[in-house]
Amino acid sequence: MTALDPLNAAELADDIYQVEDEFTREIFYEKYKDRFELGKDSGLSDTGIKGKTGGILLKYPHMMAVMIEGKKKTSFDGQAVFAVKGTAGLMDALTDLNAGIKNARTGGKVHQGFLDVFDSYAGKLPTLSSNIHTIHCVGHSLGGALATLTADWLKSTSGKEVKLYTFGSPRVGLEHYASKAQRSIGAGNIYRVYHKTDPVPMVPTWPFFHIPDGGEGDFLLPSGLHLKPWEFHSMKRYIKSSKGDGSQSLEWSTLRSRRPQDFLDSSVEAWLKSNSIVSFTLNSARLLSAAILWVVKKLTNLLGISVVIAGSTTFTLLDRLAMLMSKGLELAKDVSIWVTRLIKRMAQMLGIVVREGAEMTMRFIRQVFIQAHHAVSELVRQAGRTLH
Amino acid sequence: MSILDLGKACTFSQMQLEITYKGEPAPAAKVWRRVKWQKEKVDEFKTDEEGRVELPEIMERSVMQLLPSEFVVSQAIVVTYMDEEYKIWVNSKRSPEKNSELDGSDIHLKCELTDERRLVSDYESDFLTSCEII
Repeated sequence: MTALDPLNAAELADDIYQVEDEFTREIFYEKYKDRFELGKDSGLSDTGIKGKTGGILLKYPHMMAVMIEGKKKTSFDGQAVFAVKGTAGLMDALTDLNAGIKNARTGGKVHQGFLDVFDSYAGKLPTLSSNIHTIHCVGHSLGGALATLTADWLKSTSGKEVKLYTFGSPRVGLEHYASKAQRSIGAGNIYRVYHKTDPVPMVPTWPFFHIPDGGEGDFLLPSGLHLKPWEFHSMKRYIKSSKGDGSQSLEWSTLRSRRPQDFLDSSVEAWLKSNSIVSFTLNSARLLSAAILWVVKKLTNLLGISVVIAGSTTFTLLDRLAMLMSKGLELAKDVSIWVTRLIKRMAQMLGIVVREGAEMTMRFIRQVFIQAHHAVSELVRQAGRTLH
Repeated sequence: MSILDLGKACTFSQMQLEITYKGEPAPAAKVWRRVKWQKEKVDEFKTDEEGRVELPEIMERSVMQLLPSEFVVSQAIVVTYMDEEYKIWVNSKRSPEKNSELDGSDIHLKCELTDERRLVSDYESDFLTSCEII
């Protein structure tokens, strides 16, 4: 089944923001009524889905998504769309050091904040007509995380083909969840679009993983030169990127060909080896994130240790990551060199002086990770402050 | 813009309206405006003898500006004339700049109350209106 084109997917991710308010819902209705079954009224009472966010700002249930079936004899015949909006109330949770993780319904561990919102509407997802063979799940920003959880859930319960399109989505779950969801939905059915200077895909910080992290469904797009590079998180920018210079949608293959140079393993390795001074910027934070994932993968591959220690609830994820690093230092010399280099580079970025021959205690590693986390979170917050 | 408006977002740009009913100016029509960003703001105006009214811009500050979230403001204008209500404008403002409703142009609308509301897709964000954009 063919995928939505980039512009169609981006417009849905953008237009779904209109459904929260009772007045603007009508704009969504008018735009899509000829292609989709939207129910009997422009208030979307038949097709709108209410959810409850767990953040500080929006605790009340509000319409945040739609599940709509394509009209017969249109290009959407036999297809359904689940589109979900982002919500700022969850943004604090993204940078919360004590963020909990929970078991996803389909297995694997995911961010508790996202799962709580997903759980608030999962039971209200309608049963689709038997002629529906494909479901397109779409979301921007935190809506991208919710679209991911929903796509994974629908794939495991509906028996239908599911396609996932996210724009500037944060990471949703830990490695096991990410690889399992990717296998289940199918690598060829995932379109993760993000601009190079969009800060939101950088959070939550490690050890959360994207779906996918690299490969065919990973559409990294250039941001171009701009005074406010973080502005590239807005849907306005994603819509522009999906059209290029014209008014028609680009092909996915064209978007793929626009991918800017990303960090190669060799450049991560070179960065870890070098002693050059770097400050904390969006770009160096991306490089640091790539370096941490690179070392974590080395550790987990060689030691067979999982980042998450089953049954343990006393420690935060960063504690567990520090434990993993510390264990790596003790157990395997091949890897310990990289752990040491990583911690030293992180310390350098944070302005912490590490004396030659100083012992890498677990307490010290933990401290470096916590400070790095704060630095990345601050970058994302700063981006938010200047976004509007 | 006053110095107090620095750092604020424009949630409704200044708008000139000319309201007619069956081709004739609609004097003393009640113009109800609702703007919702984080909080709902409602105010009311009346047209003059020529059926004209100017809605002033609204500048707001919100905690939402501190978060990298999408800018979404709901706008609605409802005119009450001869005991009938007409929803003449429904828009989702998606950018904090002034006049972003019409991609930067000043907003001057001619509204015949008996006209049907339609979807306008010529600008960056789609909106519903029964008015003519002049």
